[in-house]
Amino acid sequence: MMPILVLLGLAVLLVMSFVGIYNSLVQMKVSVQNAWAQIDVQLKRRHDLIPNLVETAKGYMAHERGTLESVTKARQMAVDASTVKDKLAAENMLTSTLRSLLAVSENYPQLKADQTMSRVMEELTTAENKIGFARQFYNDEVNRYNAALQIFPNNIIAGQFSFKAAEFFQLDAPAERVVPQVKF
Amino acid sequence: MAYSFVQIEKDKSRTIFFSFLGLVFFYFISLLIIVLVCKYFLFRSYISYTDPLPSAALFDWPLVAWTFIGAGLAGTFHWQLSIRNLINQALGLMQAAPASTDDAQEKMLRNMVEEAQVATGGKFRIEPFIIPTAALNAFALQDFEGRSVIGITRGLLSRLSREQIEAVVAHEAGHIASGDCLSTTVTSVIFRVFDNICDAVGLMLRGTRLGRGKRDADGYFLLLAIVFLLVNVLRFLGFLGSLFISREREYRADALAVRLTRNPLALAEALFIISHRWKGAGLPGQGMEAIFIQNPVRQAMDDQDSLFSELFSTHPPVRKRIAILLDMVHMTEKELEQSMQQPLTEAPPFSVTGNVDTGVFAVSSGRNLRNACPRCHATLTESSYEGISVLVCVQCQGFLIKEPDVLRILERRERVFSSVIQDRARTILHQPLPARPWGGYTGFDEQSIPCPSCADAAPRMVRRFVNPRYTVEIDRCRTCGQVWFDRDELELLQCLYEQDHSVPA
Repeated sequence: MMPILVLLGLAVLLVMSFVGIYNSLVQMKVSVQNAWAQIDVQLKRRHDLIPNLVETAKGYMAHERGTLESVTKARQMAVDASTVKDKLAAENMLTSTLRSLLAVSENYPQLKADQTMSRVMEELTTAENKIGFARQFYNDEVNRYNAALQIFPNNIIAGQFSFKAAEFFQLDAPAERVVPQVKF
Repeated sequence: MAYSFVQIEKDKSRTIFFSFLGLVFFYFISLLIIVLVCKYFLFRSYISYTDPLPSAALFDWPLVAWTFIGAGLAGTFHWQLSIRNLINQALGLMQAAPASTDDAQEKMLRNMVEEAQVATGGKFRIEPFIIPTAALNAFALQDFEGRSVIGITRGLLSRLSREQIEAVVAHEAGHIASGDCLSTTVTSVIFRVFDNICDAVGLMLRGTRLGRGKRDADGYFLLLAIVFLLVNVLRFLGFLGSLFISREREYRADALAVRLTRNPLALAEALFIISHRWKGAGLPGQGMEAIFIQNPVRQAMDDQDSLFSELFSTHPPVRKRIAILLDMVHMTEKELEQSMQQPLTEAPPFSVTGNVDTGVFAVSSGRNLRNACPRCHATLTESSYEGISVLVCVQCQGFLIKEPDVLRILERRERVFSSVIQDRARTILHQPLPARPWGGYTGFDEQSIPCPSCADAAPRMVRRFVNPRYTVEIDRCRTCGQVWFDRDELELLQCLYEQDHSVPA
């Protein structure tokens, strides 16, 4: 009688730990998906901001029509993009056009002094930061999830229920891939 | 040794977890010890007065269980009592107001707090608050209804760069994300049960001595005395434990801030700047040192690394914190110091030469601390000025000098004055009497400051000119005759005296 009870207890323990691991994996997967959705939210906020920015900058930067138009165009492309791959490309494009706009705007001192403009700039900075943070959070979550998938005994359960490793959010723009120079 | 922020976070989390458990365990054990001591004394008196020996042993399990239940209830009760309305109370005390959306700087703070929310995965809703003071500090609070608050002083908001403020906000968000604010209340409140026991026993002790005198059994008095001593010792140990946890938490929040912003340098710079400025000692809202990014009160203690500060401070030494952060970016403290363009010791603006934002500084906190600077409430330290011992405020560089010593200082000539002071002295000497009568306003207005050396009686100092010729404003206490010189006022007076009495060449 006794050995059977012990065996039964062990079996219950085993099942319970299996359920625990499975649930924690599901939880992490959901949180990875959630983090991905967060990036989307932040990207959308940037889209909403750009018409305002372009409108304000127009008054001062009559000569930079080309730069402004490319920002508007990149935004439209990002809004219209349907597949994830297109979307990433369009967003990267938007980021780089915004950067060039910021660089050009350095030449216009009145633009910096303008109240509305400095406000829009702050909003743009925070939008960029939020995108960065959302991406960072996503990558951290992916890292956690992927690590959890490979640990024993999680890997058995992950294989059984076909949990797949999530992909990192990577930058495609070659300029951003350049490793900063390290100085000592 | 490069020590990554992930590793720090992990290590500190473990330390904090175990020491927190240890502290709670210690709380229960110490109450048990007190109960056992009481029981032992009861036994003794029982044995001495009655015949049959009690059959029960000193230590029995039901007693332990009851003690633990009682201790748990008392702890929970105190805890509930103190966390109720905690955030509103703290905010009210510091007169903090929600960051507005109209003001550019406050909007920036709002944005940064939102960024911190995004960086922590949007699990917390954090409200940004502004503390209206020129001091540099920040705090975080959280309660069980899921409300969290980050407060930043206006001084910090206007003096640090965006990246540095971001780092500070991330540090505070780190406190919230790791649940520090919640466990802080537990550690700080749990030993308040001991305070109450202490008070009660103290009262009873006084009762035995005064009231019943020697008629009552000496055993009773001895018991109370021992319990009193024991409670105090245990409470002290618990206090040390909670301070230790508080310090570990700061390290962890620093590491978390780095994880959120990936910018150790900005946090190091922010800590560096804050540590060299006025952190807000003396403002209303003291007694909550542990919730701030740097201890607003104990300037000297956080700056040194002695055993004393290792044991008794709510915050780890700033230099140690900075060193850990700098280690991540392979920099030394010297390099950081050189990269800082700003002057390191900046005096609050109560000076002839200094800058002006007096409106904010004229906060009279209503507090009157003995030997604290009447302006910025840092502790006055004894120092030698021209060979004469004076009390000086290291923060705003004001002097408190006994009246007879003032003339002695004026007679000495070792000091060389800056050209600003000399110019100023010349103008004063050659300018006709000011419109104000020289006795000045001997009345007291809201600008008159309390005398630091007669703090208990709290007389206000009289602001007046030295005399009709030397129109330097000083503050003099009419009770003890000490004179307070704000920064540069003493030098100006010396310079005046020197110019006046110098033999024409």
